[in-house]
Amino acid sequence: MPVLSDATRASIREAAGQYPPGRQKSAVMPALYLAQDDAGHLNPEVLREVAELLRLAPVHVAAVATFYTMFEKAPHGKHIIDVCTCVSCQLLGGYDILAHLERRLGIKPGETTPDGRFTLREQECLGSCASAPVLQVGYRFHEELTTVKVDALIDELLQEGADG
Amino acid sequence: MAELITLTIDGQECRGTKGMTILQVAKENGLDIPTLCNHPWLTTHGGCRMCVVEVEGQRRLVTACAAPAEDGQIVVAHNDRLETLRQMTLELLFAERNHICPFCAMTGVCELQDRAYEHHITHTRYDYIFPVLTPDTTNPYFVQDHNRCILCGRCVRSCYEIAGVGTLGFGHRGSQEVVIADLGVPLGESSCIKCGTCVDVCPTGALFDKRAPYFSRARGLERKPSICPDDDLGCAMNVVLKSGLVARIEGWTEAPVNGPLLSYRSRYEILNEPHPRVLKPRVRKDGELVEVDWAEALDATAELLAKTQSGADGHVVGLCSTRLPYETLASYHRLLAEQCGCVDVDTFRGAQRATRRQADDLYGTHKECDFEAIQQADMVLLVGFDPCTTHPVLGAWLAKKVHHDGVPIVSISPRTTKTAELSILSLKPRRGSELAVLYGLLGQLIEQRNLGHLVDRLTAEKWRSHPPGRVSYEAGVEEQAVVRAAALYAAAKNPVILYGPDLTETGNPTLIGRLWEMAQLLGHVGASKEVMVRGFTTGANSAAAEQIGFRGADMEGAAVVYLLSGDDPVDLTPQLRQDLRDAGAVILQSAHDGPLVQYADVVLPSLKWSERGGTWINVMGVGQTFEACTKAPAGIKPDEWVLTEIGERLSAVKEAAHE
Ligand code: SF4
Ligand code: SF4
Ligand code: SF4
Repeated sequence: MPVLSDATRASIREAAGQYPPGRQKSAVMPALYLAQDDAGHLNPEVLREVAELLRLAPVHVAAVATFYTMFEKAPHGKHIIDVCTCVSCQLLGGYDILAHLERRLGIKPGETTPDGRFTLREQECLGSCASAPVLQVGYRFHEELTTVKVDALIDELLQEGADG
Repeated sequence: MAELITLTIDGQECRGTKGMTILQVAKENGLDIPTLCNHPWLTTHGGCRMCVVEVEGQRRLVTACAAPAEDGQIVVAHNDRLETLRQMTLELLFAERNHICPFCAMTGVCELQDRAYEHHITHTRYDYIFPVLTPDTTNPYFVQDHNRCILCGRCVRSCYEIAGVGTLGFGHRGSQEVVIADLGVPLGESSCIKCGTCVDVCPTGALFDKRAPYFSRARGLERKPSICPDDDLGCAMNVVLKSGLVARIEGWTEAPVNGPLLSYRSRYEILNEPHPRVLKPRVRKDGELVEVDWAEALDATAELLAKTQSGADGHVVGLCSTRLPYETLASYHRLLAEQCGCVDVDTFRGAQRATRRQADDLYGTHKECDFEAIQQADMVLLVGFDPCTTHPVLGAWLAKKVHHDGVPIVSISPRTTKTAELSILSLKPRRGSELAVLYGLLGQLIEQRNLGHLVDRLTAEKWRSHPPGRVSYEAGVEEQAVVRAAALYAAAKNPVILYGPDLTETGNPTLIGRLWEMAQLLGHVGASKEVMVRGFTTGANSAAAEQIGFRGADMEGAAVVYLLSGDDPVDLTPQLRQDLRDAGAVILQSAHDGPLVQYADVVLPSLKWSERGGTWINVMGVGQTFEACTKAPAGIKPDEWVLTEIGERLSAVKEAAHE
């Protein structure tokens, strides 16, 4: 039984088709992103399905998925908030942002709120020093943060949940 | 002709050819450059950095295993700077995991340890990291201890490049990196085919034989090649001996058929003897088997065989194992056919050969294709054949075709096969309805390809009368599957059809005829008129038995049955059981005290695989000769000697009768 939707399966096949025949290995990263967007996180069933779709040995897919931190291997909240506390962000208050979020959400880094809405994490460099301090929600960056901006962001995310 | 090149390594002029690496040239010229991740069976990895060398004119160090050798190059492979770097690399490896050699199974046979000695490593200047890593003992034959792993990737490459399955890979990263199986499952639950190639190539104690470490340290080891007795591929292996005993089995680089790849059976299972040895001859007296000396047992055997020679008391039936060398098979055949005048001399599983023989009789002798055709095939149709079970090395070759080249495999077999997991499509017809499926395929082929004109009208009609609907009804397979199987076969440029014991043991030669027709219909016939079809049998020397003339045995009304089973784990079918019970007397020459013994009136000890020497002829007709690797336990006589002794006694009895 496929875990992924037909649309995702089709997109993965399409991604594989963009590489020369026999080079499906190159499509592992795009395929994993597509699968993650659909399934939430990459559990073994999802990885197996990606391997089947790309006609690769499962270990090739597992190797990539476990190598990169941006592939989620375990269940997490609806929104993952990655706060950068690396040098530039740290100097400009990255830890204040993190502490503020801890208070606001009532969880420590690495934890998920009981309602399953938010997972909070502390991250090494997110690569946006020029606009420090930053955090990332999903694929979006939020830059030059202040605690006020952070509160607005959380309100917005909560609102989104309420609408949906 | 490859272009000759000359370069200087450590001041020595070295010759090589274009395309060689610096490492290869150095080795060819007798120079040593240390390596760890490099292995002659595998592709280059260039990951361990042991073989770094200086090349004049290049600012950076290069890895000799990966850098192409160039004409005129000046290479420095040994100097203080390189020595320091190599020492540092080794120290880091030692600091990263747990390398406390006295507690390691492979100490003494470890390349990491060898490198450490060579580079005078007495201690490491870095802090030990010692992450907690649990060894994986779930594989029945070997242990993976991540604590000793240096992440050289030899196992990963061998699993993909030689075993073809690609079970192993690297998971996680940095200091967390480990070798994982599939999606990170224990090896015992993974797709591993237990070929043990990774264990052969692992340079450290990270992968080791469960059985071997206790008595296979490097000192006093001897290696002798031998052959796997199980199937007719002719897979050769290296038997590692210590004090005359088999310590373990390794892949043998020079094996003409299989190279270094072995199956779990020839590497591991062969060492497990399920029953104790028969050490002394036995004769049944008052219903009990009692141990006797050789003379008495041989006399009793000759007497039994002589009694039936007149034919008045019924006939002698001989059944022999196809694991035995040519010479023994021939002696056995001579004794029974010529000296006893017995017409019923066959091998166990004789139906596997008989069906093919009958097909030749019915449809004319057909030459079948060779390994090369199989290697080049772009589609494989398996009929009544589960190579992953009966011919695991062939199964691994097929896995490689699937994983590396995307070659489709279609499997038609009435039983659930292991190879079906590799197949893109598997059809499971009801037992006895295989023929309907083959007619259905032929019908589809002439329909899909408009080939009706190539066969006579009656034949075409017969095939057409098996449309997918009828095949589905008769054989219980899906209509669409028949259509698709035919389409896949028709679409391929170089498809091969492989059949095996599950087909031949049906005893129906018509099936083989249809397979030949299928190949011929689409013109899949080679340069020397061979059809792109190949049948396989179990037992290493089936082809020899066929040549010698083992031609079927009628067990009905047998006065004496003479079984030469050696170490063959004969499948004691209900039929064989009954035949042995009904026989007047049973002579058994067997290495093991297995289930056949209960039926025997005379039991003669016999050799097991490692004690036999001689010639084996594989499925393609390739002969290989090997010497015995081990001595038989005291008291056990060679099979040949036993056969000769019986022959002499028979002649004596005959002469006595004449006088
Ligand atoms: S793997 Fe080699 S170096 Fe490591 S403990 Fe074992 S023998 Fe020593
Ligand atoms: S298990 Fe052995 S062969 Fe595999 S990476 Fe580790 S040290 Fe190398
Ligand atoms: S035993 Fe063979 S199949 Fe299994 S992991 Fe090792 S190389 Fe791969």
